[in-house]
Amino acid sequence: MQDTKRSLIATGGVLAVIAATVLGASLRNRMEIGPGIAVGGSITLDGLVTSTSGIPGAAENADVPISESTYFYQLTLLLEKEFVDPIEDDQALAIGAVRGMVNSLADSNSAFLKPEQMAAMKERRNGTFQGIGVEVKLQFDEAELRKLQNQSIGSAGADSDANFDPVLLIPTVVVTTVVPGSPAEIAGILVGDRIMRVNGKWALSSEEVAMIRDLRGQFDAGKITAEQLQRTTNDFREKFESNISPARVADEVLIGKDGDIDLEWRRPDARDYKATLTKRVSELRALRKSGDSVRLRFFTGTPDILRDTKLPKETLLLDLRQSTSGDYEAMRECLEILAPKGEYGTIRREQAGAPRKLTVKDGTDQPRKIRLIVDGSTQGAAAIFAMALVSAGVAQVESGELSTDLPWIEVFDLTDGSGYTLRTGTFFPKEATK
Amino acid sequence: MKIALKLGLFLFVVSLAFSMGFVWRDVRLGVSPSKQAFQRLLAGKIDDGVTPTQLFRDNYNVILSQFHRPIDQTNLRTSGMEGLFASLGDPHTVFMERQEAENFSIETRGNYAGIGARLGPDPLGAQVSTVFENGPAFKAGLKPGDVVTRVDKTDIAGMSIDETVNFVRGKENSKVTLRVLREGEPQPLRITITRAVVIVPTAEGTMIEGTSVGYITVSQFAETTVAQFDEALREVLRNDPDGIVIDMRGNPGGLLETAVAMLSNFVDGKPVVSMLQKGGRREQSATYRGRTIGYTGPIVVLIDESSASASEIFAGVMRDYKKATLVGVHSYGKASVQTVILLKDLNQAKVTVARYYLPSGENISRVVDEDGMYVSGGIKPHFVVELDRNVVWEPGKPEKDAQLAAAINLIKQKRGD
Repeated sequence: MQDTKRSLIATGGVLAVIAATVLGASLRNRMEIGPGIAVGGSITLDGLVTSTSGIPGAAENADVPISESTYFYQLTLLLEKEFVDPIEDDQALAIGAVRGMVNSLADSNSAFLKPEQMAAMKERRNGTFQGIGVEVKLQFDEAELRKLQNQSIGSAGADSDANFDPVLLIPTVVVTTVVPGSPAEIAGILVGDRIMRVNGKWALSSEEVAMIRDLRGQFDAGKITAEQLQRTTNDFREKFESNISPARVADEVLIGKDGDIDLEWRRPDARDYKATLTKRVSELRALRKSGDSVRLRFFTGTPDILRDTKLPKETLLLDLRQSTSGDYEAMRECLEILAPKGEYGTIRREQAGAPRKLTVKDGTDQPRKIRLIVDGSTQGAAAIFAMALVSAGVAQVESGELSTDLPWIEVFDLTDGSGYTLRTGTFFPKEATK
Repeated sequence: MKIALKLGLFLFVVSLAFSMGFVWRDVRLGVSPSKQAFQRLLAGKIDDGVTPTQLFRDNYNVILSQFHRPIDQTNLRTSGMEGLFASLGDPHTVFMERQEAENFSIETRGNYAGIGARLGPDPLGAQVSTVFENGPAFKAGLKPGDVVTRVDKTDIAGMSIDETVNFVRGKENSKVTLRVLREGEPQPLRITITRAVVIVPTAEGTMIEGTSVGYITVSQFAETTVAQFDEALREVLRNDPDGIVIDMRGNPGGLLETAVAMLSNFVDGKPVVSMLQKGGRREQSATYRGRTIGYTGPIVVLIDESSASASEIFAGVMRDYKKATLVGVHSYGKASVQTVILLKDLNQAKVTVARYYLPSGENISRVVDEDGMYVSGGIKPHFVVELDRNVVWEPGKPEKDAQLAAAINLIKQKRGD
């Protein structure tokens, strides 16, 4: 009797110890990988690594579905185990992966931002500009972009493979805002100018690659000589060897509060300019009133300022020029302040999912007549703001043309201060909603 | 009292078991138990999305579900894994897709053959940097400086050299047709080459015309290179040279043993490199004793950005023991060993598992930024000399090779002419 009791206790004790061990291991796994995928003994290195080193395993292994979390987790294990240096910051691994994913989207409005880039971007959204006092946009060749998009959905199959050319996907860096009084303005940089060269390094572009190809075509057709081809190729080789990626070009002009920068830029009429600029902080005001006209930019603090500003009662002339990377939330709030209650359009994705509505919940009960001044530098949040008001019949365009490129862009933060912008939809004005 | 003690002991054992389970992951990895993990456990933060995997998964889901266009999941995942590997800042630790892995398996089965030429980057495709004497490309008339723009039916502009090489290589005795631009030729040439398993002379010695300077080119470090290098050295020494130029440009490296044996001609029984493995294990190799040739004249080693691995070690050791002057541009900066791990989905992971250090202790590893652009690393030459871009480079001819010309001048100066 006593023995039975004792052995029962012993068994219970052993079971408890085993259970504790398993619980510990599974808690840890849950902590490392997170819930929602199978957790347990199956998550080991040999879940992903082939048993024989050298020759790949049997082909039937090839299509074993492995969830992306497991896949990622196993690769981090593999690197921790094999990579020569200790991995000090394992979060950097995940952030690197996010960077890889965002960059693979090849989208002008979706970009990974390092901590200093993110900080500078947030400052810009509050009207404080570092660097030379500009906003820039990485502009891709639209036709090539479409080919890539077709390819990545896999709808066009092998055909698009043959046509798509990765080289032609190098974006150009185009100035979209110049802050008044900034080093850029003083140097004469205009909206629409393209940054060609920074501190002696060339921003390689798809245009040049295409140009070289055309030249080769002419050579093949016997229109130019080998010497001419060689000469141009040599010029090009210099650019090829001393170049700077478009993302770095953007960094150079957007980040930094002091120091000199040598710039060369090209106007749309193909004229080239160059100058040495000294970086410093320039401020752009959220709201500037002059007579009946109000120049508005959608910074984080704009709604508060707008509420406190005495606006003309009858007619409001809103100047939305030079407003490219406004804050979308601030823009929504400004709609609340200036527009009457109602629906102003939808934000849609090119994939499944209901469109989101852009609505003004309460709105103003004393709507004014609003007239807008816009131009090519009215982009992003400002362009959507203008289009929303005009399509709802709340505002009229006084001068300029409304942009039809209406991306909805959101910002996502990561743990180390870096983050990314992601184009999550396209704005469709009211008429199109029907 | 006794029961309380027993209970206490029992609880202790249970919590010990729990901790064992909790750190089992670390034990399996051979790392010390994670303090952070315990802290998070005690703070009750288990699902707060801060572990690398949670962070990755959350953002993967955001991008996949919120991006305005549909995205191919496999592409997104692959890009994520490439980014994961790139975050280590080591250009040799890379995640590679299935297709490249398949090529690797072809190589390991040994039935691949080449054309006997080395290619370098060019905006129009790939430039031929070396044509191995008596190899298939040599016989077909391919020349250094030729720019290959097309391989069979594939336009190679914009491709990396690795990708291009995949098209150039194939089964033994099969044919490959290259479209080639050659200076002075009005029309692009079509050159058809029969692939063969290429055995190339890897070290050759000669005297530079009109001088008494010996010139030894080493194109790679194969097993056979030791004997060929010794022969080249003998050949040059027979002419009682004023100095010797050893050309390591374009040499991608090879076997470390070969470099050690070659260095033994100049350096007597001294450390060459130490190899630092994961976990701090260190292995050292040294040159042989009593094998030096006792040459006391000036030696110049030429390097460029394609000199990698064993060739950098050769140049670096010669520099560290003050046996040679280095001329050219900084070398590539490959001082590490990689393992290729095949994954079950046939993708592959190439991972750096050890690093070499020169006798001076210098780490020459190439550092690149997130865009893959060179930041630092490689061996710095004593005298930086760039090639003249306006002259078509012909290695071995001083008038068409500014780096060699500089080397010869240096030797003449040292001789006091």
